[in-house]
Amino acid sequence: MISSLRVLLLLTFRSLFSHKAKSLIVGGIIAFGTFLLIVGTSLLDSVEASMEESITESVTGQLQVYSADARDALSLFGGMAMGEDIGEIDDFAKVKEVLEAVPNVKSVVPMGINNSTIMGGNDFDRVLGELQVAVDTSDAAGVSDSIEQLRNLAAYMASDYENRLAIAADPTESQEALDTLKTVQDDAFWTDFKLHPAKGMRTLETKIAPLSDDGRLLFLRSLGTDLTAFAKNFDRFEIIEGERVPEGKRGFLLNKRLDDRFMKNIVARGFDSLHKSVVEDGDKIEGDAKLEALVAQNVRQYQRILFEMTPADGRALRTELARLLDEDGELKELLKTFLDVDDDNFLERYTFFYDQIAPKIQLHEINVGDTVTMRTITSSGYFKAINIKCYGRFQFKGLEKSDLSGMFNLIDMISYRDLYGMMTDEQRAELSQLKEDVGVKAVKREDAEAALFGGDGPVESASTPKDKSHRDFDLDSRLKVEVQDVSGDTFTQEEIDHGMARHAAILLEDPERIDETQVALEAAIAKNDLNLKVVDWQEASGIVGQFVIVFRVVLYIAIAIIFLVALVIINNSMVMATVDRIGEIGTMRAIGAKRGFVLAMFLLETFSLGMCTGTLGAGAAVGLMFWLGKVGIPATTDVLVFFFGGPRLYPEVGMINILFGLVVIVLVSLISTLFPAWIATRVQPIEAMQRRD
Amino acid sequence: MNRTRRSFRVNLSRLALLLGGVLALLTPSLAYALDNAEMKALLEQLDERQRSSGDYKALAYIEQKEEGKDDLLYEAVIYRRDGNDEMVILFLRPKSEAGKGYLRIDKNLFLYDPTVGKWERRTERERIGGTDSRRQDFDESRLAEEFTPTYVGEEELGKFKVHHLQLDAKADADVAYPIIHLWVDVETGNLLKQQEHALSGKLMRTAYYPKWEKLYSESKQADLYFPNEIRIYDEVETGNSTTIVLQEVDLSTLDDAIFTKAWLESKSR
Repeated sequence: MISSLRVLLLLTFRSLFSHKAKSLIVGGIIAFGTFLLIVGTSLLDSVEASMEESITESVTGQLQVYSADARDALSLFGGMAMGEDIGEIDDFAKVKEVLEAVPNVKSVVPMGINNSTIMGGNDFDRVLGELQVAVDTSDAAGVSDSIEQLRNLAAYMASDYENRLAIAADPTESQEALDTLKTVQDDAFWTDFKLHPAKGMRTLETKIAPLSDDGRLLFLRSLGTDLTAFAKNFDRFEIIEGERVPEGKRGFLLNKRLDDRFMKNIVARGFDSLHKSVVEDGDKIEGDAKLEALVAQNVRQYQRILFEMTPADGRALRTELARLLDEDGELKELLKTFLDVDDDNFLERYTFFYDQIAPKIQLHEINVGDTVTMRTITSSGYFKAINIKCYGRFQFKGLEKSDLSGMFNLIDMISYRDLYGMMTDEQRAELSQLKEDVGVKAVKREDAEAALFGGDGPVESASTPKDKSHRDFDLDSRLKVEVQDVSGDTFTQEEIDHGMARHAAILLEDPERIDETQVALEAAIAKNDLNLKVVDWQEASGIVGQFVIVFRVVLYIAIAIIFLVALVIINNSMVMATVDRIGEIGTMRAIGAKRGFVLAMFLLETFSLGMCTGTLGAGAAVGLMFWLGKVGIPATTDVLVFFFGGPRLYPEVGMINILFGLVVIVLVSLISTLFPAWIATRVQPIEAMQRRD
Repeated sequence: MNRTRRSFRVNLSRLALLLGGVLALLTPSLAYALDNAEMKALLEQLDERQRSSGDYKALAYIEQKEEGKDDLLYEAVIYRRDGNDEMVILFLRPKSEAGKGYLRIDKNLFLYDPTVGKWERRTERERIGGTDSRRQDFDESRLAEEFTPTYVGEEELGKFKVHHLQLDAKADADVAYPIIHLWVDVETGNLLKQQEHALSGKLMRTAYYPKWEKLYSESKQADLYFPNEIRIYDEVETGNSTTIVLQEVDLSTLDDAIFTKAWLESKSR
């Protein structure tokens, strides 16, 4: 047996060295295949691990629970627009108590997503608001400032309408607007305003303000949560400006990425984009159509600076700009010149913008410390608005430049519940009473015409003037307004816990044990009749979480195609080599070699070659991964920052990747050898000898 | 014999078809088609009947039904001074909505929410309180001013003979829907049905006005017409509907202060 094995090995190695061309081709393919397999799977595993960190440490936790009655799937990073039904967790405290008792569960954090709007109002409305405050507080200086701003705005609006008048097919509307705007330019209007401010305000609000552009509507997507528990459990969360919302207080935190991308002054955003391209990426404005368009857009947006400045700041800026540009002129013209940057002056003007202009304008729609009015349509269909204070700006460490990490602001759970507006039994009873009072019968759409117009009754009836025209009802006794200013409310941890949540994040002590913990959680939920479903971070994150699965499928399909080609090539090479060796095999068979021996010889040849060249390929792959693990792969786009869990991916290669690569490649090579080996076993000694003759 | 009978039958059925065709052709021509001047007069009559030269106050009930959701209900009081293009909608019930309101002055529509103490400018196409009802449903009728009519035909609606008109919005009109179809009772001249379409022609909602009430207005020196009930069916989200009931209409003179922001604010202080 041992001597047979020795002969087999000797024959194998002799054959490998005597058929160098075949060995090189087959060995090369095996080495390349192993290299590809190890590098591909290692990179994907690294991306998945990084993405898992990005997602689990910023929003989802390792697992999420939500109502088993949900009609839609929880999808935190894809979809979940208004109207999607993921159900409700009525009493979060009970869920928390049961789930936190499951081994390996570190904590359970309540959550819910809210979409609100904040009405910015148009520029005229904004200054009018300031004027109203100044009038109400008898702030003479404030009144003068606002009036000067309004007059400036009216002048710019008039110049805009003059342009429209020049091209309008029907000049009536533009002419009427110009005539209306003239009244505000007139000193007599403002003299009268000081005597009758209410009348003046009404004219400004109803006649002049509608002539300005439409107001800006801001959309805010916020994650309602227990803010203290969130900060404690999500490691990447960090406050970069302001402070956390104090425990037990209402408030929200702005996501810096979201704020910079959508709520910063548009000219500042233009400067930021140019800075990234010119300074960070080393691009040139000149000759780059995209950057030149960005500069042109900034020039067109000069009003976003001009209209947001007080007259005194405007005058100061005009002096500074005249000095910087070394020319004189109106502020509007100086601003246009200033914003028309080129490669030579960009850095100087960027610095000037942030040093001189930014402090004079509203750089962000919402500043830390501001109280804003969030408005939404509640789950019961009613409008709901709350005043809420912005305590700070936050970001997720390592994901500062990722748009995906900038999807949510954070809002306290109590305010979230107010905005969600779940209907209570008391409200339902009140609505039933109201319905009963009015006595309206429901009529289905399909029966409406027959029900409403099929009877004999007339459609028209008359009331006598005396009993109706003077009938009155007591409004004040009917109107029971219960306005509560909740902005200063404080609440306890118990109030946070004992209430509704839409879903909850589950953070684990040992994330590696996610599968067994999920099973244990499902068992605990079933035992306590909580009617919840548990999903892992990948499923909970929606389309983003599925990316890695898609990448993996694509990689495996690509590898399968490569291996299929390799299989054909190896098979062909081996068949040709077998045909070459028919005489040799015939001789071996003639001197007593069995078919099994021939088969074993061929398989051993491929196995040995596979192991040697596979190890070489694996070595190259490991070397490359170690090098990449040291230098890192840069995330060239914002999306990659999220997938890489930071600005660079530092991939690692695991023993499992190496073993998987080697086993798969050896199996493929052995399969591809089966057919040529079978041919070899069919060789008859007499046939081989005849050939030799 | 059989052949003759069959041919006779065939001839009879042909004759019936022919007669039917002739009748069908004759029927529209027998109906009274309105010309442009008459249509304009009809729209002006619809507007005029509902126009209150003096003041107007009514108690309104709005009910919104949406599939799979709780009904949305409001009780509100409507104040109108059509002469000045002013309107106020003040919500009374449910408690959570009490004190919220709209103020319209000319083409400006403002929403006030006492819970935050803020006013917000809204468009004229606002869905009142988030329901499928619009400002126009509570406001003075401006059909003749905002639309150009075309006659479609005389039709039957339940037991009523109605004129069917198509209205297309004039270029400068700020209306919720640019194309409207109206069915007006031939006998009384009351609007019974209204269908509103998007610019693409897609039907958006159908409204029925089954009950009209007239009330003598001293300031107008004529009857003022108002619908007791409006039923609006959403044709996009089928299954959703809105019912508006107007009660306790009162035409006595209203305080000037009502049509101001300060008044609406004072109601919730």
